[in-house]
Amino acid sequence: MKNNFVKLVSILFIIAAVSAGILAWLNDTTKDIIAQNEAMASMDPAILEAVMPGSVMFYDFEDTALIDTVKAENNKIINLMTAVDASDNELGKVVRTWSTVKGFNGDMELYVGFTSDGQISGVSVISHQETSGVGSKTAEPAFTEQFIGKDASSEISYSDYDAVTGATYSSESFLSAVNNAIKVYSDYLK
Amino acid sequence: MNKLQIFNNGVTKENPILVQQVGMCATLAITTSLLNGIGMGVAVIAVLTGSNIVISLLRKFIPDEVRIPAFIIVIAAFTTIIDLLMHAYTFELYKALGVFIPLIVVNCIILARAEAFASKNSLSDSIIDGLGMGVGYLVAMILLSSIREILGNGTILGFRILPEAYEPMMMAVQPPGAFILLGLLIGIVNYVSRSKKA
Repeated sequence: MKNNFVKLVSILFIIAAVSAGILAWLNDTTKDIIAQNEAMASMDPAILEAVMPGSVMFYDFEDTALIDTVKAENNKIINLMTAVDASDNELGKVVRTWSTVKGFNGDMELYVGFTSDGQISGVSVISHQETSGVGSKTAEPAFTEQFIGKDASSEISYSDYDAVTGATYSSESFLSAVNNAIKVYSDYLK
Repeated sequence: MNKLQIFNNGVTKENPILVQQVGMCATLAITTSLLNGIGMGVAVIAVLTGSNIVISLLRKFIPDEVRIPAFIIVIAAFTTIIDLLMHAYTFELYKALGVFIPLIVVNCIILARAEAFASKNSLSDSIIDGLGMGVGYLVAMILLSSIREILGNGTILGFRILPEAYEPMMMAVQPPGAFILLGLLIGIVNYVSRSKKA
């Protein structure tokens, strides 16, 4: 009887162990693809389109050392990414950054996209705390779209853009984030 | 029984959904569109055939006393494999089917075939049985999900086939519609199979 019990347990154990081994291997093989799927699903298509028209996904730079270097030098930078289209062709670079000048209520967080020929492809505000209806207008396409096509070889000055009326602080904060992205782009990503 | 009879048994005579009426939970829940129905059907074919193969191979190795837990481990392993593969390679479908992929583990038809067939029959017969039952499940899913998608959305596989003027019958894609339409479908199948016999 006792012998039989050991036999039953060991057979069940063998089946469970083999199953677990196969599943562990499969989990390991698929986990990167699954993580990528989840990341793609978490990106808002409207933001992708606004920052880099035609893109389906922003990938973090594979060169993580570069990200670390840039972040160490420029503490407002959050991430450096590559924008790709549906067939995985690179469309350009995307810089995720905080503003360097405070807005009316705090920092703004932006995506700034750059085409491969060095122009701004689009800008999108990810988060801000500006006054609703006034400073918040800096997050709207009517304001952000004026940056599309601007040359990214030099910073954009106050005379080169139209600030939102009544929201000078917010506009300047927004501009500082764009300029911070331009700086990193022309120093490292060109 | 020859091989063709075993296969036919699963598709028609003992069709898991239309005749045996097992695994109704997922059937009623996910047949809102044809694509979901096909996806679920294919996942069940894979798990059912896979577990039938392994259980048939191990039928002399697994002692009678622990056969149910052993079967469940094998079925759970195959379900997890399908779950991971779908999550990685058919992400949209995976999201649409949601919790019903892992729930294949507790779908009675899989354990029923392991217990009633694969643990007593040869490997080749067990493969045929798994495929037959799986195809039977798939056919029933296709029938039910086509009807529900056409009535409830006016489309098939996302393509519009009824004119824009058609007012979608919302109930068809909601749970009560699932029960009513499945009931009607089973009624028709019974009627046809009885008039054949007579």
